Amino acid sequence: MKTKIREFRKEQKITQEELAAIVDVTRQTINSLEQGKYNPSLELAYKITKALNKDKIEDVFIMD
Amino acid sequence: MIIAKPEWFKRRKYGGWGLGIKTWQGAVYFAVMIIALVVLITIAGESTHMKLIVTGIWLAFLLVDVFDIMWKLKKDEREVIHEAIAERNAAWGMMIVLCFGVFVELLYSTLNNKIYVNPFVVGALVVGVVIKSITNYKLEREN
Repeated sequence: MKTKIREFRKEQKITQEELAAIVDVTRQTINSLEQGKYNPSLELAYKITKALNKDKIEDVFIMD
Repeated sequence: MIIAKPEWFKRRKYGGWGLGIKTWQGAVYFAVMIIALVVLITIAGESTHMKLIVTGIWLAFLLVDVFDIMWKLKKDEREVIHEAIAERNAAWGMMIVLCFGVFVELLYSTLNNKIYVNPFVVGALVVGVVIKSITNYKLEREN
């Protein structure tokens, strides 16, 4: 799964650590998500979408 | 009774199970625990019986504290998946070795006309089967 987390995170000017703290995961998990290595649960995808101030999960996460 | 804080430690990922030290407070905690053991054994005097009791109490305290920390250590969903897969692989590895051990014991004991299998090895396999069944039953009911 591809994501736009890095792009939106840069827009919001927040670091991986800060986003990780907001959604209650480790920095490594955010890094893994940004690289498309890890597919998140629906709950985590929802939390990240909200943390990045986006309306829809599919704005942030794109199925290959 | 619980002294150590979870944020001082990290879950050991490589080289076994248990805790690894994350911050200097964690290092101090373990240093204090070791010093406490040395002091307690010194106070216990010459009696081997007393030394064993003191070491047992110390070990029980340490185990309770370590299990408390491990219980409270936070894991996110990715870490939970990683740990589950690593534990499953470890269980498979151990099971294969235990089964091989039972086979070798049976083979040797049969050749010596006295069938024997270590009950602890068989027990470990049976306990594994029971725990797996209970876990699956519970998980099926819960989600």
